[in-house]
Amino acid sequence: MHSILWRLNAPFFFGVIVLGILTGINVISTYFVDYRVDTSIQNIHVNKFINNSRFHWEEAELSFDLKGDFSEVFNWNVNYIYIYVELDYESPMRNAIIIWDKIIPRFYYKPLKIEYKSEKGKYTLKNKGYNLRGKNVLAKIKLEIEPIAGFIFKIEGSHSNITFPTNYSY
Amino acid sequence: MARGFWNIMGEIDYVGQKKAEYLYKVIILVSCLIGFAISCITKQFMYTGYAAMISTIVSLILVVPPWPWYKKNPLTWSSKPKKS
Repeated sequence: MHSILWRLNAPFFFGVIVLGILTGINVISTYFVDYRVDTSIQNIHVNKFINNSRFHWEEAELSFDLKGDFSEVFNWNVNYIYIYVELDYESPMRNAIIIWDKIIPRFYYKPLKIEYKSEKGKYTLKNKGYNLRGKNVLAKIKLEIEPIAGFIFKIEGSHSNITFPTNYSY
Repeated sequence: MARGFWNIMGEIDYVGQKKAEYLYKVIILVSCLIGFAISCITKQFMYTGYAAMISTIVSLILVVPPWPWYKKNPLTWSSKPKKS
């Protein structure tokens, strides 16, 4: 009893258990928070809309204005926010394509407000088939709040419509 | 008491064992609660983690080696009975 190995084991796991209990209190304290954000996406513009005849799909490049205010989201259990723009349409089954995303970390982004004007989409939209011409597409802002410990929360921001042009650009 | 190598390495007496248990519990609990209060105020949870890590390391240093203040009350064995 109480050899050197016992005295090595007991303080270490006591510290781990105390840290675990405090982390559990942290998770419980932020589980019932109702996260709300002000986001807006406007002026969605189709820059390029081409028919890729080699792979039999359509490609489109978009640009948009995006605003967001996250100053009320960050509490003591939020590690970073992952924000992305998703296009939602049916051709003929439901499709959801991410065209832009960004990680807003906790410490390195001081203003906690983002504002982009005529921001280009990071990823080109590729649609198998040729049925995107003249189609009405819903663009949604979605957010994932990644915590330090606990559960990931998914929120939907605002959304707006675009109609794709009836002809390809070239 | 078992006479293994690790038992001989860190032998302390019974009063010292009680002191050692009390010491690491108090150090870890108090510093973790202080760190938790600081992280409540500053809203950064990593302070609790730092407090837990540092206090665990400090209590390991204070408890694991057989320091001289754990050996102040050695057991007094009864003397050998005299042959009559």
